[in-house]
Amino acid sequence: MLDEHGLATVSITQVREVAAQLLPSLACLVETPFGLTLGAVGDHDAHARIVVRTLREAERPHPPGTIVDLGERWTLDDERERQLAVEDLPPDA
Amino acid sequence: MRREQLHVRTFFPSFEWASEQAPSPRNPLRMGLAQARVGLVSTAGGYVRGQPRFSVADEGDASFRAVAWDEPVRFAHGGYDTRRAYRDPEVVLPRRTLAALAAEGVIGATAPRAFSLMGYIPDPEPLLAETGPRVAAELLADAVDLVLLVPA
Repeated sequence: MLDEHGLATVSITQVREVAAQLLPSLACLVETPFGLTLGAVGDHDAHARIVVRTLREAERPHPPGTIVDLGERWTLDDERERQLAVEDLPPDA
Repeated sequence: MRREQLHVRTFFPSFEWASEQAPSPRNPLRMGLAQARVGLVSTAGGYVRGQPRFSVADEGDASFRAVAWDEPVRFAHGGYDTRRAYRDPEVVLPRRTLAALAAEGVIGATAPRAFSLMGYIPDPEPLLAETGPRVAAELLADAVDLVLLVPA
């Protein structure tokens, strides 16, 4: 969306399949819950780490459409699993 | 993907996922990160006092808000629990994080303002035809070298 206007961009994505469908120019995968993209409330070290690691990827010569897995995984609780749990959804969803 | 689609569809039955056939073109960063002015675009639904809140109705909201770097921010979004973002906006709108990185010299500078959208946009046409070009023009006017896009 912004790349077509000449801007250099790097996106964070929380679900690999979404990035694979929308195909941003460069995406960095972090497996955190929706609403806690950069980590837990108050965990400013995690926020900074994810932002820096994401921005660093913009310096590298990735081809368009690359998804870089930053290896950031949510381990505090099962919120992410619950958000994505098919079995909790209504049968007609 | 199916799990993500089902999660969203539970809240928004009419939502259809966009699908691209080819990746967006990639524009190289033309300087080191330590020299770059970094802009921020978040889809967390952030807005500030005096601005209209984003609509969380089924039809979505493709508008955007320019958000000052140091102004208290509010959130409106139907697709995630905004209470944590109210407690710590950095989880979805890392303005202080980027400002600290600029102060440390990790990045060259921050843009003068951030931009926020509300990520639930079932009809992408207004986003692609109007909002996207307008936000891009604002970022270019701010002489941004690199844009960080953060979902919620």
